[in-house]
Amino acid sequence: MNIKSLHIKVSLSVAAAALFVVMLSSQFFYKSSYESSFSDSERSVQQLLETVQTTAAIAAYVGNRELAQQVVTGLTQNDIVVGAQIIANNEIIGQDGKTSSDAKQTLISIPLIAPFDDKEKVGQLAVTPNIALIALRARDSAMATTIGLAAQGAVVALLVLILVYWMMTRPLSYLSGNLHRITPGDGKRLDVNSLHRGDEIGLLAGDINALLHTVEKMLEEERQLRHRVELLETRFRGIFEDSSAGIFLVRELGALVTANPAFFRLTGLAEQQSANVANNDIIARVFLDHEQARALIQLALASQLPQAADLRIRTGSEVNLRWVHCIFSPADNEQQGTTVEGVMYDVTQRKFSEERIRELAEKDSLTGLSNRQAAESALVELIHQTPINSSEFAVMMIDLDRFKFINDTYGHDAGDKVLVTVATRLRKMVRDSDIVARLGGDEFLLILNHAGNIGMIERIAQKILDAQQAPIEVQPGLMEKIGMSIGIALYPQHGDNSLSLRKHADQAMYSVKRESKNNYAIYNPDEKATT
Amino acid sequence: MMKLLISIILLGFSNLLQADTLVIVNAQNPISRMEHKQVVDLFMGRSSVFPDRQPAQTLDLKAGTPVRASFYKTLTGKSEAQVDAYWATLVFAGRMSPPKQLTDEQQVIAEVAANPSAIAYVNRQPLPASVKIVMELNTPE
Repeated sequence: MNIKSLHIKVSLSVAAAALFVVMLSSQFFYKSSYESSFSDSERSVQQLLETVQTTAAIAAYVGNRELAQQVVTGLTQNDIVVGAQIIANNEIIGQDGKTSSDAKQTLISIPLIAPFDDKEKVGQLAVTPNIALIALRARDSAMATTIGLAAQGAVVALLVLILVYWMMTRPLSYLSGNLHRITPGDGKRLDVNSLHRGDEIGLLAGDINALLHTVEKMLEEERQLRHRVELLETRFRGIFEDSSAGIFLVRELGALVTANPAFFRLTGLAEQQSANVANNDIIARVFLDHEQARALIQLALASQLPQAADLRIRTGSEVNLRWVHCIFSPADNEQQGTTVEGVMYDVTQRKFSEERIRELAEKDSLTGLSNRQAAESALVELIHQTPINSSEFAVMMIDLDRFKFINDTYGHDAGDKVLVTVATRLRKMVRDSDIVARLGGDEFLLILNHAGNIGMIERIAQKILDAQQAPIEVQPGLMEKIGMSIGIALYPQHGDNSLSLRKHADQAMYSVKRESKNNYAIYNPDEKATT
Repeated sequence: MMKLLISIILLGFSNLLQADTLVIVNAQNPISRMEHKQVVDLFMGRSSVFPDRQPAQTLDLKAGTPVRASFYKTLTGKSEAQVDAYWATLVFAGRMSPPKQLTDEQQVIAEVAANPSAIAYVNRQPLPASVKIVMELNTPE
C-alpha cells in the first residue's frame, strides 16, 4: 500500500483529528479535573475542621490543653493534614505536626466560638493542609480522567476508521483496482457489491461501466473504419504503384512532391536522386520541352482545368528521343498547398509511326525530297503566310535534259541514280529552309524563300546549272553529263497563287527547252502568246 | 413583715414562677453580685475563682432534678444532656471534674452555709441568713 492510498490518507486525517481533539479536550479536562479534585480536598479539610470544631471550642473555652492536644492529634491522623493547632487567648494550647511557620503553607482556619455564648470568640483552630498530597491526588485523578477520555477518543476514532474503511475506502480501492486492470476493448466490466447498489459507489461503478461500453463501441467503429480506409489505400496504392503511366505531383515551381515507380521508369531518374532534388526543378530535369511543360502547368493552374500535350523527355542521347503524352491537372490540397498532378505515358512508338506516315505522305520515296503534294501544300502555305507587298520568293521548275535517253539506254537503275544524284546536288545548292521537291519523272520544283532580287536568283540558277557539269557514273565506268532547263517565276509579279506560279515557271522552263537547253529563263509575260 | 409578705406572695406564685432560680454563696463571701458570664464560667469549669480571685467551689444537684435542668437551660441555653456531654468530653480529656453533685436543695443550702467558698443554685425560696443571693435567674416563661 503506498503512502498516497486513499485509506492511508483517511487514516492519517482521522488519526490527526482525533489526536487534536484528544489533546485539546484532555488539556481542558485535566485542568478542570485537577481544580475540582483540588477543591474537593480543600472542602474535605474544611469538613474535617467542622467535625472537631465543637470539641476544639470546648478545649479553647476552658483552656484545656489535653483536650486541645487530642483534637490536633486526631486531625493530623488524616493524611491530608500535616499540621494543626488550637489557639486560645493568643496562646497555643494544642499543636501537632508542621505549623505554618516552618511549612510556609497556607493555613485553613476556623474561629472557635464559646459553647455557651455565641458572641464570644474563644480561640482559633488552624490546620496546614498537605498540599503536596492533595496536588498529587488531584493530578492522579485528573490523569485518570484524561487517560480515560483519550482512550475513549481513540476507540471512537478507530471505530470511525474501520467503518470508513469498510464502507467507503475498501469498495473504492476495489473499484479503482478493477478499473486499473481493465483495458478498454477487452469487454470486462466492473462488478459491484450488492451492498452498494443504491449509493454513490454503485452509481460510480454503473457510470464507469456505461462509459466503458461507449468507449468500446467507438473503438470498434474506429477499428472498422480504419480497416476500410486501409483497404482503400491498398487498392489506390496498388493502382498508383502498378500503373504503367507515370504519376507525379509537383509544386508550382517544379519541385517534386511524390511520384510512382512508372514515373522513374519513364524518366530514367533514380528515386534517391529525385529525393535529393526535391526542392529542385524536376520539370527542367525531365522534359526536353520544359518551357512548354511549364506553360501547361501555369495554364492548368490558371484555368483549373487539365491540360495535355505530347512532350519530349530527356534521355541520355539526343538520337534516342522519347515522347510522352502528359496531362497536367490542378490538384490543390490542404496539406501540400498549390500542386499539380501529372500523368504521363510513353507515346514514342505512336509518335514515330505518325512521323513515318507523314514522311510517306510527303516525301518522294526515291530521292527523299518532298513529293508533289507536299510541295503544293508548302507553296500554298507560303503564299498564305507571305503578305503581297512585303517580300518575294521564287519558284523554279527544273526538267532534266536527255533523261529519257539515259533511261532508255542504260535502264531504270541508271535513271534512278541520275535522279538521286541531281536531287542531292539540288539540296546542297539551296538553304535548308528552301523547299526542294520532285514532282514526278525528271521534274523538280524549288521554292526559294526570301529570294531577294532577280540577280541573286539568277546566280543561284547559274550555280545549279554549273553543278551539273560534273558527270554522273550511270553504270560502272560509264560517265554521263546531265543538263537541265530551269524556268523561274517570281511571287507576286508572276502570279499570286500556286497554280499560276507553277504554270508560268513551266512556261519559262519550256522556252529554255525549246531554245538552247541547259539554261535558265525567267518568266516573260510577253512570250505568252508565242507558246 | 414585708419580707414575709413578699415571700408568701412569691410562694403563692411559686408554682407559676418555679423557673426562677437563685444563685447563692456563703454569707461571708465578700461578693455581693455576680455577672451572668461569671456564673457561667464558674459552673462550666472555665474559671475556678470568684471575681475577687478567691477560690470557688461549685455545687450541683443530682442529674434529673427539675431545678438542675431549668438552671442550666436558663444559664447556658443548653439542655441537661448537652451539659453532661460537655462535662463527659472534659472529664475524658483528664484533669477536669464537673461540680460536686448533691442530692437535694436542702443539702445544697446547708453546704453553702457551711463553706465560705461554695456557690450553688436553688429554686426561689426563703433562705437562711447564712447564705446570700448573688444573682437571680428569671426563666423567660
